[in-house]
Parts: sequence; C-alpha cells; structure tokens
Amino acid sequence: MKKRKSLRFPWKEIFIYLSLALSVVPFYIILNNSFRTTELFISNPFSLTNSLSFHNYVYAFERMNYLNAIFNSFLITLFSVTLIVLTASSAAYFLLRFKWRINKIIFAVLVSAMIVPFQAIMIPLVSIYGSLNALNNKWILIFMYMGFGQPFAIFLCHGFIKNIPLELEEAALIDGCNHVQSFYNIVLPNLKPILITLLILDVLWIWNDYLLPSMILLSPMQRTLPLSTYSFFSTYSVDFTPLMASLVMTILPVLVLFVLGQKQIVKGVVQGAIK
Amino acid sequence: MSNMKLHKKMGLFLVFAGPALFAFISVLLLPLIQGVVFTFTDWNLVSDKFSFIGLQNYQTVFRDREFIAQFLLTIKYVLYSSVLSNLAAFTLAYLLTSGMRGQNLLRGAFFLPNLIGGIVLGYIWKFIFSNVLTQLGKSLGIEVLSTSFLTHPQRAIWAMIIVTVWQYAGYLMMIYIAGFVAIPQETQEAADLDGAHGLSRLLRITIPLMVPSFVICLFISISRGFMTYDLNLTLTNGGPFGSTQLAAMHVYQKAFLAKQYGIGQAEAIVLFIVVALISVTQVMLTKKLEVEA
Amino acid sequence: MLQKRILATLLSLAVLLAMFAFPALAEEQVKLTYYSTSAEVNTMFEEMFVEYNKLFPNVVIELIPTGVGQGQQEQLASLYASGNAPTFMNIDPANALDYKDKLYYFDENNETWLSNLAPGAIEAGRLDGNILGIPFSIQGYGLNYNKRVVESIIPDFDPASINTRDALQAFFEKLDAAGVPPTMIHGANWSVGSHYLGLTYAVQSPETEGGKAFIEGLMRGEIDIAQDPIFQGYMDTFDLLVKYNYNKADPLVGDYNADTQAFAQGKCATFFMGDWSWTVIGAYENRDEEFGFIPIPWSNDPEAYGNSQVVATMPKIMCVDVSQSTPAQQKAALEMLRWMLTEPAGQEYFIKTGFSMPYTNVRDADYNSMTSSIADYMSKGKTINIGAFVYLTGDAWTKTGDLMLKYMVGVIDRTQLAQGINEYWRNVQ
Repeated sequence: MKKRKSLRFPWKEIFIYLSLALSVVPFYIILNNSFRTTELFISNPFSLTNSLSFHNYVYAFERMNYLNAIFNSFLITLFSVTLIVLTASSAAYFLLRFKWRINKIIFAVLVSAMIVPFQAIMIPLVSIYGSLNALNNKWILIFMYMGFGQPFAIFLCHGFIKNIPLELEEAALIDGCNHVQSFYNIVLPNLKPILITLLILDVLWIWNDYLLPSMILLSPMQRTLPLSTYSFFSTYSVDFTPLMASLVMTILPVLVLFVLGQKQIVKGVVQGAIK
Repeated sequence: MSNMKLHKKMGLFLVFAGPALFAFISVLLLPLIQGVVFTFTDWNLVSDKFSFIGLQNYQTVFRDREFIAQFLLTIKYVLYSSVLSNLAAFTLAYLLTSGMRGQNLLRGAFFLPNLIGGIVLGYIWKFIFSNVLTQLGKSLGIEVLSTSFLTHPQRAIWAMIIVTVWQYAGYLMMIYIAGFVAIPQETQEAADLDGAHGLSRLLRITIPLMVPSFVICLFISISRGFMTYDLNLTLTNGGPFGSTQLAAMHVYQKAFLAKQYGIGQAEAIVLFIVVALISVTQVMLTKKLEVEA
Repeated sequence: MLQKRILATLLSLAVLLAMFAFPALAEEQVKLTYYSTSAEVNTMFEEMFVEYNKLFPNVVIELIPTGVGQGQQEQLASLYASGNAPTFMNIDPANALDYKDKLYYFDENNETWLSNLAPGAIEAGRLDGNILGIPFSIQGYGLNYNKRVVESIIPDFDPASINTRDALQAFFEKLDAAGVPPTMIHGANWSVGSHYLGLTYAVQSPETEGGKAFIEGLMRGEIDIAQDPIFQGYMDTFDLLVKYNYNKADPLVGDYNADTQAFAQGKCATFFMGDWSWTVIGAYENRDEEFGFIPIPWSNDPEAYGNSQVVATMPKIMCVDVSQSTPAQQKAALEMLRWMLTEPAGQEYFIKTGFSMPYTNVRDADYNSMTSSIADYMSKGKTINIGAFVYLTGDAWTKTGDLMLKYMVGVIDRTQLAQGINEYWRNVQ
C-alpha cells in the first residue's frame, strides 16, 4: 500500500541538511586548509585556498612513510576485524542459546570488561608481554585486538541474536544439522546487518587507534598510520596544515571502504528481509 | 540440552566460544588481575622494588576530594552527552530509514565525524573553538562567541559535550539504523494494515522493537563517556585551570605524572567498579523491556 | 729465491688466516634504540642516525616515536615496563632523577671527551651526586622583546636598563602610551606555573641547594610562601604583566601558534617565553627579524639576584640505560654520544637546527637573535640558575600552574594563591 505523497513542509529535509552542514564544517576546514600553510591557517581559517597546492601532501607522504604505514594499518585492521567478527559472533550465539549458568556468568564478565579503563591494564599488559619478548610484533597486536574487541562485539551480537526466531534453528536441527551447521547456515546470514555494522565500527576503531600500537609496535617499519602522524605534533604546538593533509590521507581509505560497504548493507538488509 | 554428554558440551564450548575467550582472558583479564594486584602496592612506576600496603591506596582514593569532584563532573558530562547524542542518533536513524531521497549517501555523510580519531579530533575542535568561533563571534558581534568557549569553566564542559555529540551521533546512528532495518517487514506491513501511522506507530510498535538498540547505544555512550581521555586531553587539557578534568585524565596524571602508580590504579579500579555498577544496572533494567520478535 | 718463496707462503698464509679471522674480528652489528623527548627535532635525530650508520655500518640506531605532549611520561614508563627500555635517550633532568637507578653514571676519567663541555655545564647532569646525563643545548627565557617594535618607540633601547620593577613599569607605560600592547602572557599552566612561578624557587639563591631547600621547606610545611619577599615581589611583577597583557580579553586561550605568530609580527612588544619559540617563529614567512631578552625584576634593588639576569638552562640531558642494555650496546651508545656532541660532523646537526651547544670546541655560528641574546647574558655571567627545577614534583606545573591561571583571571586572590601553593607542597608524597 503506497502512501499518498502529499505536499507537506519539508521538515525532514531541512533538519537533515542543516545537521549535515554542521557535521561537515570541520571537514571543510580540514580539506580546505590541507592546501595552505599553517601560518595562513591560523590567521584566517575559513578563507578558501588560493591554489590546490599539494605541498603538504607530498611532505606528509614522505614524513609518514605512507606506503609502509598504510600497509601495516591495512594488514592489522583486516586480520583483527575478521577474527573479531568470526569469533565473537559464534561466542555470542553460544552464550545466548545454551542457557547454562556458566554462560551467564561469562557474559556478565564480558560486558563488565567493556568498561575497564585502558590505563588500568596498560602497564601490566606491556610488562606481561614484554617479559615474553612478544612485543614489536604485528601478530601479537592483532591477537590483542581480537581480545579487546570481544566484549563490545559479543554485546552487540547478543542483542540481535534474540531477534532471530528460535523455530528456524529448531527446524534445522530436526532436519539433521548439527549445531555448527545450524550456526553457519541459519544464524550467521541473519546477523548480517549487525555484523556489517560491527565490522565498520571495529575497522574505524582499529584503523584510528593510537595508544595501543604506540606501546606494542616500537620500530619505525612497524608503524601504523596514526603512529606515523606523530611527527606533526611537538610538545607545545601542532603543525596544522601537514597534519590535515595526513589526516585526509588516513581517512581516505576507510572512506572508500565505507562507501563501498554501504552497498553491502543494503544487500544484506534485503536478503535479511526476505525470510 | 541438559541430557547432552559432558564431553560434547565441552566440545561445543571450545568450538564456539574457545578462541574468543582465550584471547579475551590473555589480553584483558590477566592484565586486569595484575593491575588490581598493583593497587595494593606502593609502586612508583620506575623502581624495581615495591611493597604491599594493603588497602591504604583505597583509603587515599576516598579521601581525594579532587578525584570525587572530578568524578561528579564526569557524571554530569556523561549524562548530557549520552542523552543528547542518543537523541540525535535516533532522530537521524529514523529519518534516514524512512525512504528519503539519497538516504544511503546521507548515512555515510553523517558517519564521517567518526573517521577522525581521538587526538586529532581534539586539536581540530580546539582550534575551532578558540579561533574559528571567536573570529565569527567578533565579526558578527555575538558576545557569547567572542571569547573562547574553552576559557570559561562552565562553557568548556559544554565544548566537550558538543564535540562528543558531534562524534558519536553518527556512530550510534549506525546501530539504530541496524535496529530499524531489522524490524521484520511483516510487522511493518501488519501495522500499516491496522492503520497505525506516524506517532502512534512510532510509540507503540517501533520503539518497543528498538529496545535492544537502546540498550546497546545507551551502554556504549555511558561507558565510553566515563572513559573519555583523548578528547579531554587535546580539547581542554582539563582546563581552564583543571575545571574540566574528567576522571580518566585524573587517573592518568596520578599514575604517570605524579608517579603514584598504586593510587592511580586504585582510582582506575574504583572508577571501573562504579561505572560497571551503573552500566550493568542500566542494561538489566532496559533488557527487561526487550520484546522478542 | 727460497727466501722469496718462504715470504710468499707466509704472506698467503697470513692472508688466509686474516680471511678466516676477520669475521671473528669484524664487529657484530649493534642495534640501539633512542628515545627523544624533544619531539620537535626528531627529524634531526633521524637524519643524524642515517649518516652515522653510513660511517659505522655495524651500528644501527632506531628512533622510538615519541608520545605526544604529556604522553611522553607514559611512553617511557611503558617502554621500561615492557623490557624495551631505550638504549639511550634525551630527557629532562627531573626524569633522569626518577630513573637514576637505571642509568649510566658518566665519569670524566672514562669519558674523556667530557672535557669539551663548557665550564659548569656538566653540573646540569649531576644529580644526587652522580652524572646521570650530558647536556647538549642551552635554552633560556625571560621577557622576550621585539627589537623593531621597542626601538620604534624607545630608540637605542638597552635591555640592561630594566633592572628594577619601577623601570619595567615605566617601560610598559611608555609602550602603552604609544599604543603598543606592552607584553603578552601565554595562557598555559606550564608557562606560568613552571617558568614563572619557578623563578620564586630558583632566585632564593644562585646555588641549586638554596632552591632545593626552599622546596623541601614547603613540603615539610615549615615555609609559608606568602611570607617570602621574593614570591611577593614576583607576584607584584606578574600583576604588571597581567595588566598589560595583549591577551587580556581572553587570557586563557593558550594557543601557542597564535601567540607566537602575534609576537613575531610585532603585535605586542614583549612576550614571556623562551628562545625555543624560534623553532616556530623562525619558520614563519611574515615576521620580524630581531629579538632579544629583558630580565624580569622582582624588586627595586638593582643589585638583587634575579633582577638583571635571565634564565639560562640546559633543559635536557642525554642518558644511557644500563638496566636493560648489553655492555656492547652501552659502549656503542657512549661512542655515539661522543660523536654527536663533540665531533664537528655530529655537532653540525645541532647547530643547523639552531641549538646553542655548551661545548668549547663548537664552531662559531650565526645563531638567531633570541639564542644570541641568551648567549650574551651567559658570557656576561648574568644568568639565573634553575637547577632547583629538577626537584619539582611531576605534577607541580599543572597543579600550581592552574592556581596561577586562576590568579591571573581573578578567580582567586594573592592570599588564596599562596595558600593553594602551600597546600600543594604539603600534600606531596
């Protein structure tokens, strides 16, 4: 049944586009000023740049060792997020469907762990792994992200698994599937919207993370993108315009991913709707 | 289920939850336990020696008026930023799942603020508050904008709130969108057939089905709010004169600047326990409202 | 002929032996890590290490990325806790004191190259009786002034003429009457809390011991800072600075970029800051050329210590870790330091970056006007020793600095400021 399209005051559109403008102003500032010098930026942040000079980008590209950094970021993010999504969704399913006492306890512990302030475990973390001589290693970092990402991921999945009707799984079990098959064929596809959401949120978290990699990855060749922007910060001031160029270069890959991922969300949604 | 053999149960447990829990325990739980152990010592972060001093650190924490004051400030900050960002996020998600033109692109656009990470976010907004808004205020003659938001204690905390809402509205919006999208088609069609439109539909059908999303989003904004550090450091640096220093920043300074590591850790643990209590209560209360599909 | 054959055989044997022996003799590769808290000049160190590696291929030095701003302390602590302490580093003397049990004690008998240090310079690293580190730069602060702006109102201005508060006041009034904002305070807690308030501790005596004893007296609750004439004097002068502050409309903004730019362009006549600001100011395209320093008088007695001097200090020292490094690494690090600090090729890096080095064998260089001004005061012996700063606690500059900021904008008065400072020191553990 189609809604009759009435001529109505475009409240929705006004609200959305106004909010959009407000949201996007900082990006205008960043993009615009990435083509100027810091000196000009400070005296007049809003004025449109005179030229599309890429000097900041070239400078930032070299200082950041960009290709190396983006490779590291990419590798770490890809593996970490994949591991988190796979392990957390299966754990969440298990903890919810098998209503054992211990599962409830584990779930409570996991959820509480989301609130642990990072500095409470910072020093113990590096001292434990340092004594195992396990630092300065991408794979350890990936393992750490896998661990740190569990609470949030499991929590997220938990709420959505509830929405998947139990009858579907029971039907599958009666048909002779075991639990693992039931999970992969019935539950996982239905989780697509939240898994994609989780994927995007986790990619953003890990891609932009500074503190943890700064403590684990110590040598220059291991640096991720956020770590490699350190050279634009000095103790008292910031070299703004190259920083902005580096920011644009850091955001761009994720932006591209997100734009492409948008189509997947729609696909997943459509598939989920046809049950 | 209870008639399953034990080894089969263990097998399932290991297959489904094994990897996740192994990583979690080795990376989060173990360091946390060691961190708690440190709260019973007087370690100063540098020397190789330290001694156990029992609960002394905790006593100091509860007598630390500055910590308590900043904790209360953090509660105020979390309250405002959570409510406002969730309101904004929910509204945006609702509008952007209603079939507007170009809504996919718009969703992406609203999500952009999230792409800027913690440290840089603060510096950029600090610049906006100190330079951009002040210049705007001076040229347009708006009194309240002519001096920086960041130099007045009452306004500076609002600068933190504004930036937090700006950053998280898009993030939470994503979760709300997933929630809206997960409302089964049949339910929506049934509502249409029953003649439920607009506000009543929103209140009677949509919102109750969105409760899982509320649970998640509230939890995220509250817990993240309490742990805010990066933004605090780079936007206001706790200023002016320490009036916007939030709990997490206090802990960092105690542990690493003043090198009173045991006390800093104890404060972190206390922070954790209190926030855990608040959040778990919130989750349990709101989960009771959850409606199965 | 036989002799020739024997010689040839011996020679070939020698060559063979050498071929096999050489790998054993050839030095193994040594890898060092370096942590710098002078984040602004990390590029300089990186380039230096590359050149050093070309000269000595068996030594590889890696720069550890520095934590941003306050993150430096956490970073260093985390490196030590994880067993990855940097082999050598440049840090504040106060930090070195924290880590004193883990650092190498330099000895003038072992490190003979230390004789190249300017007289007295080695004291910068002598803490608790041991030489924990070696300085590499001299920095100073006081009332930085823009020569063009000042001399346009007071031709032939002589900074030595400002040796009493009355003289400073008259100076400011002249500038103000001519329509030029006389001074600027950077509204950050480290500037007013560490650099300004710190003068009270440092000027207690030309010897570090005097300042140290004063701080300890505060900690024990024996000293009430309100009773100290030096404190009251500096606060009276501070009131003067606050009255004529270019940033008066919004003093707490504390935007380093904006403030240095305003000063560099001559929007105000003086600026309470140090010569490290040249790193930023020198890079601006629109700026004035000549700057210098004026003392900050705390009383009207021209002979009093502090009234005709500016602060000159060696703010950072190079230290070597011995707790987590091998003897081979330590040896290589010490050798690297010798090269960096006393070999012309190494010194060149510092000079080109604008650092004034406290070494007698450093070549004459054209320093920027700010650094030259500080060097001038040093050559005349007119400097304030801030050795006492080493004994300030880690969070003193934030906590007491915040009090100073409150005082600056009138949220608290002088009595409350003094009370707050007293309380801070009494509660320090």
